Amino acid sequence: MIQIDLAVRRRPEKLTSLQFLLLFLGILLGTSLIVGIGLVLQWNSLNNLADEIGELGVKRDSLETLEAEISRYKDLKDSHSELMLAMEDARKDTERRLDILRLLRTELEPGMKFLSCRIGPDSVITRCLSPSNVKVARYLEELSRSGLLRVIESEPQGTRQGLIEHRVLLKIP
Amino acid sequence: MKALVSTIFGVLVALVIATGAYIGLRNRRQHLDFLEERRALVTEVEELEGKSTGWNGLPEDFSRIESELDSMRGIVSVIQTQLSERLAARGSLSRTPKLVLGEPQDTAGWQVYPFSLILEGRPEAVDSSMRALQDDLPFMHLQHLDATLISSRRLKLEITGSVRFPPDPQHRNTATP
Repeated sequence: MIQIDLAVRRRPEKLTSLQFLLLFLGILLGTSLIVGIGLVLQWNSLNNLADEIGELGVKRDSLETLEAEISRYKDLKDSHSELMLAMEDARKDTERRLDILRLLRTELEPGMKFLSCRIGPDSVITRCLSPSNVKVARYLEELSRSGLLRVIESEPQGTRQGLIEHRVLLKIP
Repeated sequence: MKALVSTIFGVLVALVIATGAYIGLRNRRQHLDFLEERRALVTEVEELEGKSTGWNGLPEDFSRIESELDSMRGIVSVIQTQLSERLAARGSLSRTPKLVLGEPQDTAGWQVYPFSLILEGRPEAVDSSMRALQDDLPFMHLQHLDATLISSRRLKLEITGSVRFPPDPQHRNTATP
């Protein structure tokens, strides 16, 4: 039996030059489109970030202004408090020393005489005359009782005008 | 012909891809920089928000404090120019007023004028004179008070101390000496 192949062998079709050109043009355009879309998306994202940074910058500036205002207020308040405190401390210190001076004179026992005193920042040295040591002891007790002074030591320094001269060292608590 | 076309288009496609990659990488770097900048800003804003929490504008006492400081500045300025007169005025209590006013010294921004003054008179007068002096010179600090009874009704008080003038309250950041 004889078999006859009737199929016509055709050579594969080749692209024409125009088709070839169009194919590559398509590839070029497609690639450009994809790259372009990617870049546009990126730029969009960048723009959003830039906007957000801009808004944050404005907010930061506004908060910095607020902080400067707070800081100014605190500085003023601190200055004010510090000056008031300094004035108050100075006034209290002077008053305390004057009170001590008055106390040294007013608490003298009958017959005692005040001679002098030196009132320093934290100690007092006073000199007085007394007819007896007992009166000096009472005097010192009264001074201690005032709370303004604490007796450290009392030394007789001889006699003057027929009275015993005492040098008393006191501490300002 | 086809080889030429494919070469040209191949090069063009490669150029597009390379350009896209270059711009994309550059954008990516900028994106990272922006993210870093945003993170820093967010942190800064959060810190500032933390500091200003509860702050509802300047408190009511702001104006009062400001005007008190202004007034204090005026008073201090006047006292500073009239210092020796004010001290001498108190010294006039004595028959022979004795005032020694030293040169001003700068201590932690404060102007410190050392002085010594002798007051002499009845103890009550000396006492009230001293209190008035403290009112006149609110920043007066005493170093020593030397009191001597010169007769039964007369007290001699030698004051050693300093008068301190604070730095300008509006522009100061120093501590009390």
